[in-house]
Amino acid sequence: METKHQTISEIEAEWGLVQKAQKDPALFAPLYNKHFKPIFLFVLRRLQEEDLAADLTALVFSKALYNLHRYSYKGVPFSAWLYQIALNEIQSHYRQSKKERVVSFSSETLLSLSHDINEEEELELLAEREQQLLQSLEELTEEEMVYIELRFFEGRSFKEIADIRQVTENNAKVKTYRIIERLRKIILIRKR
Amino acid sequence: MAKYQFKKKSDEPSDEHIRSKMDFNKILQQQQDLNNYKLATKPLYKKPLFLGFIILIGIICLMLIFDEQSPEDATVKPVRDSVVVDSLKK
Repeated sequence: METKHQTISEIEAEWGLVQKAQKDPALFAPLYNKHFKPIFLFVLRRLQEEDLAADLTALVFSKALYNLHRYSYKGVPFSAWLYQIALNEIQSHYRQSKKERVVSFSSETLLSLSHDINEEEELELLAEREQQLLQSLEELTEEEMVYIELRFFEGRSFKEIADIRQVTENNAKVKTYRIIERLRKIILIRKR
Repeated sequence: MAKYQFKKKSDEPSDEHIRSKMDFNKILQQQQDLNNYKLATKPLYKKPLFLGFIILIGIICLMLIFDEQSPEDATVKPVRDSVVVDSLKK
């Protein structure tokens, strides 16, 4: 995972850079250089097309720069704001193209989700169970899928999820566990 | 129809490859294009020039209205009925 927790002093130092960029767009370059890779990978995982991901990432940064005068410090990392813009752009891309939304996962991340749903310790997820789980995920809404992706497929902390979704950490936890509960019910209904 | 397309994570591109996708000048250009687009599509009523024009028209209209009301009519003193009756009796 490309993100790491930022300390308050790091977040404040970054706010200093934002303030400079608000006065002169050319000074946005250090922020662009710092956040390009994580945002590009975040978009790429959801599009699976490199050129498209590069274009959309460029759009994310231009929109960020365009709206930078509206950005104010709320004690959360600047990257959280960039992730919000990226998520909006990805949603808007899928709405316009009417394509199926790509969800990237690995066997390990799916196994960790399966553990949380079944509360059973398994060493590996059997192909049949994996298929069953993916079919259940199909029933989730876009918003619910974002939480599952952030938490399980990208391994983000609840604090990060809260910052990206603009909710409290507690709220992010409650929402995630409600989604898991819903998945549990969907799987049970499918088994019957 | 399926909502999601589940794909196994592929290997992340190398740092060098990612760096090749970076272009800060493109960002500045796109931001400028966005600015121009927003300016071009700004509603007429939000444009200061148009607002100024409307205010100017308003002031001219008000001046015309007051100008029509103000001349001699306003200076003519109203004649009381009793005065008219008295003059007729005479």
